[in-house]
Amino acid sequence: MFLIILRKIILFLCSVIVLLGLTFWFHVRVKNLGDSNLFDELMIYLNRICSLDFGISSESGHKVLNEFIPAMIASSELVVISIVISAVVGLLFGSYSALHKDTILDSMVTNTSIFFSAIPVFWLAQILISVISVYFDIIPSQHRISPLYDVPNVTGLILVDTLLISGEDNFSSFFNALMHFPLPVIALSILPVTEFIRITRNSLYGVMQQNYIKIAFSRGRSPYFIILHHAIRNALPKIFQQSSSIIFLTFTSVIVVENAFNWPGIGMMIIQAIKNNDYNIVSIYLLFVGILFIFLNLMLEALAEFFQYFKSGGVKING
Amino acid sequence: MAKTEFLDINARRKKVPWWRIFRNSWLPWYAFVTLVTLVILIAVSILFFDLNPYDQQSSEFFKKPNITFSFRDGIGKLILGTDDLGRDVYARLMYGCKNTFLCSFGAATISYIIGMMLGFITSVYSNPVTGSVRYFIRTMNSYTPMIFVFAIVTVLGPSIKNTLWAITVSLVPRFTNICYNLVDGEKKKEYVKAVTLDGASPFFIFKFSIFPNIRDTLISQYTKGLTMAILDVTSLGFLGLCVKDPEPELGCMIAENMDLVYTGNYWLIALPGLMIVLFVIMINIIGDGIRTSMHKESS
Repeated sequence: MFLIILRKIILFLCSVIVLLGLTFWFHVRVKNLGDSNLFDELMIYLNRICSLDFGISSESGHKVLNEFIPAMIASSELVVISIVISAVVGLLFGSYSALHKDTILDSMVTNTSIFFSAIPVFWLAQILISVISVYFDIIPSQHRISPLYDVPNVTGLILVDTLLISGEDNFSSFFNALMHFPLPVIALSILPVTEFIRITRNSLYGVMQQNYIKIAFSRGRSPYFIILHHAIRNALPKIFQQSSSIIFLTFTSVIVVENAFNWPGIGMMIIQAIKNNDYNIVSIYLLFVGILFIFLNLMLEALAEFFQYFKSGGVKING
Repeated sequence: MAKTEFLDINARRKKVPWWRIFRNSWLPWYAFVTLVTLVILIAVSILFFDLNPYDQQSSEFFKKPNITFSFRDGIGKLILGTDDLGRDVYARLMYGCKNTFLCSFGAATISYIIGMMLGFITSVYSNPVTGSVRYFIRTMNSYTPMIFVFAIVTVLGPSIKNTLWAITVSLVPRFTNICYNLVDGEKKKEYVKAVTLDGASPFFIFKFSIFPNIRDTLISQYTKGLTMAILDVTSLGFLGLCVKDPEPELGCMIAENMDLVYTGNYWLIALPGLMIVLFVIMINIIGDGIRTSMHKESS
């Protein structure tokens, strides 16, 4: 048990060191060294990192950290809502198709998910914009809120900030911000839904073949009770392990989706930085997003292993 | 019952090879035929029709597609209309398909070969060097591929060759991880231990005990990697990081023509997207069909 945690911490520290080396290489590439040698540059760079000074963006002239954090908060709002919705929908459809495997409805669900996983995200976003927003004119599609509203930047989350506006009797700004959400969320969450359906279907089908489920059926328990109480609780660890890759996939798609919908998040920021050759922003993006990914991955792996550990009564499982 | 089945001639069926099963299953076979037809169409259009994707004809802007063939200028010209600069959409589509699919096919194949070799080596020979390589690759596998792609393309600048290398590098950890897990799962089984105790060389063990059991998963993982490579290349093209401007490429075409859809020229982004979707779906179906028919052959 202690060894599990120790391995994860060592892996985390090694990966952070590699990431710091990568960003330092970016930094050295741009700057001409002059008289100082590489080691002094490394010490100066590490000192700056420890005081959280990541440099100045060459495009706008502001500090990189002050640009990065609001963008990260805005993106994470979109990503979290999209992952939660896709997890719920994916679990529902996946369990339905696992329980009725090899029937017509199951093949319909799986074939639809195969079809939707083949559509590129940016094309789907563009079609959603031009059909729903331009042709039928139902929901707005660009930016986070209509430019008529002046929302103060308290937390950075648009839904919270519109609720905190004082002196408003009607929630018109909140509803306006809410109407800007469905299209990006649909475009982002189609791919995770298909992945969740596939993972849940495999995992739950494997659990339902086990002996303890058959014994519970033979004892006369109702199917709903068995599925809720026994089957899903045993299927969850496997789903957790693979959901880290889904979260990373969403972080990748958010770059393309934000470009299409002009959402002011890290997606827009990184693409403009690459086009303007702004290395400071690219390096802080790599550093923070890399650390976040490793941390999430290790947390989810540790969670799955804790499930195993406590399920087997406290004995370490080999492997 | 078992005794009469053993003696019954009709019960002892001959083993049906997997390509025969593949040919008899209707959906993968039709997908395969459609894919081959499309590839032949693209090849013939590029090699034999004289299509020019860069030629800007200022007299014909925004012509809608008309399927009635008009042979006045040559075979296949202006079938699918023109875009805002007067360039032939059919020509740009064919050349764009060639750029995208060759790039992604090359990236997927190279990364597959390198990844499989690394996976085999780290799994068969277990010593501290290969163990640390395996640890490193397992960490890299937990990243999403796009981070490496952005880092490499930022440093080297946008062009097709750099995209190819970037996507190759980002797909290698995935294949290595898959291959390592497969071979590791097979190494622990009893028939491999039995053959080892009989005194077989590692090559014999690999060829006759391990490889036939992982063949189907290997091929289906190749097709999945190919679809991932196609979607990655088009995403990079959409973000403007793939090719320079007059070169056609499916993602770039969708990005450039995004604003023109609002005035009613739907075919400018519908056609490139349709090509991507068709190719990815067909490759998925074919890969799934090959895996199922190999599975049915061995059972």
